[in-house]
Amino acid sequence: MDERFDIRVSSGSRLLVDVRGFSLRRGEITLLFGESGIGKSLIGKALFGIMDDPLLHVEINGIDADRYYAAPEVAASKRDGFFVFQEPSSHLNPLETLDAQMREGDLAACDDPVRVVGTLWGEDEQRDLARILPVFPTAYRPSGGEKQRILIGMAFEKMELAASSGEQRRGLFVFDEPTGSLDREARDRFLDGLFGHYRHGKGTILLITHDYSMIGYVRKRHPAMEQHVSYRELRRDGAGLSLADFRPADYLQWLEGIRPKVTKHVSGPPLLSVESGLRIFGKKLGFHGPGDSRERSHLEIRSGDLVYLKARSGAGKTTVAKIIIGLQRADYFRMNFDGIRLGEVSPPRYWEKKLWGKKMTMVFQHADEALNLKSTVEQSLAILPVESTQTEEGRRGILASLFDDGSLPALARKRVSYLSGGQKQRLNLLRAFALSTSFLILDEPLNALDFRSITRVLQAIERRRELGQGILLISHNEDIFQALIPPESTYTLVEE
Amino acid sequence: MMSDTRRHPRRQFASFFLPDRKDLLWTVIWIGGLVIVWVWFLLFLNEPARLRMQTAMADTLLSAGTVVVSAFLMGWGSAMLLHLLDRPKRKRLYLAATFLLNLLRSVPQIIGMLLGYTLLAALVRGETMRSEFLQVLAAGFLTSLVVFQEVTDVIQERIRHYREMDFVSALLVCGVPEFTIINREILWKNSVAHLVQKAVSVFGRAIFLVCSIDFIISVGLSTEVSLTNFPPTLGSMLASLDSKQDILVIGSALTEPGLLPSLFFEHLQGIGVAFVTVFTLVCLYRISNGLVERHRL
Repeated sequence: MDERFDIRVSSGSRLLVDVRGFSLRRGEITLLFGESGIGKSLIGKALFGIMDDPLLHVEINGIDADRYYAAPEVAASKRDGFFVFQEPSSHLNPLETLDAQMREGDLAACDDPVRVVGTLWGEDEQRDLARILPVFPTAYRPSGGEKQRILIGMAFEKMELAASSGEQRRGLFVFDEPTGSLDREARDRFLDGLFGHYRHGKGTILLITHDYSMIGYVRKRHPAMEQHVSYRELRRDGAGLSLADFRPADYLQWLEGIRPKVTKHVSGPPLLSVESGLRIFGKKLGFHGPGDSRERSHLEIRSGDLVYLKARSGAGKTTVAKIIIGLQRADYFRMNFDGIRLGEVSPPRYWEKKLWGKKMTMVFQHADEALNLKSTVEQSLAILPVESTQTEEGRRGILASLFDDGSLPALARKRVSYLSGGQKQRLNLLRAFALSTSFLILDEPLNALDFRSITRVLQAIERRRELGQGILLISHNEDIFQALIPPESTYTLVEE
Repeated sequence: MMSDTRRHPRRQFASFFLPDRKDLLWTVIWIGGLVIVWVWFLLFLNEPARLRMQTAMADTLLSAGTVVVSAFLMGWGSAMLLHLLDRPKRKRLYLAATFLLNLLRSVPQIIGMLLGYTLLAALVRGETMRSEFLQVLAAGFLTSLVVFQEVTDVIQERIRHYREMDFVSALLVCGVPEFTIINREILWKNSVAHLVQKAVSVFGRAIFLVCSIDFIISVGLSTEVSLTNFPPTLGSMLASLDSKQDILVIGSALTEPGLLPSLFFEHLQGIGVAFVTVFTLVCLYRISNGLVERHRL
């Protein structure tokens, strides 16, 4: 049975979300896609009833949210449900151990919380879980991925309890970007667990994500669940938002249509060669590859080469990228770039004077942090030391490659802080694309993007590669990049 | 999705005085208060005293304004210098610059100003500096020598805060010069509220210091430097014989309430100077606090 909601959220004079006819199928699973920052989390919180910011005014179905939440059936869906926050630190209490938090309140009735939470850790990782249970959560420990799994595990506990009491059907379970900090294996374990618990109790589940590769996983590993899963996408529609059904076939057909691109320019000596055996933070890191080879090798990138570096979450991919770009000092590393040998003793000024913006640049994974939120879109490009960004025409031309023409004049004058997460990410990428460097590092370039933007960004990356740029790509989006990049250009980062 | 909804003009006017805009409210109170006092003086204070009051107020504000401009120039310069020297290869120079700045910082502000005023008095006595305007500017500059490091600290703190952030690293790897990032992206776009708050606080501190030092000099700490050597300020006006007598009447009014009305009509100079000084300092303090609250500094 579909329930329809009109949701309006405002803060002072600013209208944040205005969605008409948001439908949620009771007792079913809804995957809500859409670019980051478009308002998915606000919708999830408004539906669940946790709009606790006093500055926000929320109306649901035309009535004030407080009155709406007081209705018995809405209160019951909250009481019997659970909300998994995108940022788990905001949920976990730093004054209690994780073990205690897994057993408090309603969860105290769960017989074996460690077993339930433990399903999110691999068999060989159970000791890691045991090690963090007595920990008081802080910003840095346990890791973001571990905290996220603890929180998901608590939701699973609640689902199990509700299923055993026959009340799960009433509960609303909202998972807000639950896999943002998880590697592929942990994400798969989450989906397996989610469907497993769903089968027992049939609760209403809203899963907010921009990880489209979940579609492929459901089809491949849980085909029987497809009848219970609906895919929706929140889209910008002129001045407002609209919710549309997302056809999984569109994504799957597109994915199947991707063919690995064989590079034309790849010949001669490598543009960049990084030796295995980097040492940093007491860890020794190396590269396996190319392809599935387990042999230790150099990470090599030639002009016009698109190289994919993969690793499990937290293995140090971004750290390696920062060492290469000269922002992070390693205890030991050796690399050759454009014929120059560099190492841990090379002066940082060399990167600053000779390489940054001239021969190499990098796109950081969190656009929110990588852009100056107080700048306008135009200012973010105008500051670059290249001619093409110094004229309005030039800047518009650059923006047009990833944004729709019609929105450009207004977009150019907009402050970065007012952009959605997806728009920020596209601007983040464009800033690097505007520079004519011979080498480019892309750290999670598909973060926060919706499906349409993903296809446009991949085309833009391909254009850069065709122009002869050497590109190192770091991403946990293996579905897409393993299809796009041939095995001979894929490396795995491992701890040695 | 974000869009602005229309705001009602009356609500817009009312929001100007909302509790989260205390800085603006206190700015209005300060300027309004000074205008009311000036009108009162116009009606009830004799003309020579009123003209001296006006000059004293103008000199004090000009001197404090000079302190702000000068302190910001020196503060910015020293922060940039320290940033430039904060490199492994320039460690010795960095330590030397830090040592000199800390040495200057260790001198109590009032002592530093007294030493400066002694120099200024020598220039005035030797008739090297005859213009009263220049004397006010010089007094402001000397005061700024003992307060500019507050500005250095704010600028350094802002740079340090943003230096570890990804947006600075992202701009660096795009080839944007560090100097541009610091000045345009960090200080101009992300620190204006901090710097304005510091400017207000330095302005208030300067008025307090200028008034204090002028008062101390005027009551006769030195035979070399005297009240008559310098342009009038609120501090020196407060120390004048007329003002002291006016202020003493406050004590008498406590035992003889009949004298109370005369405070506002016959003893205006002393009461007026004291009020304007204290009122200005309180308002500036409130404005500064209001900025801290509004911008969550």
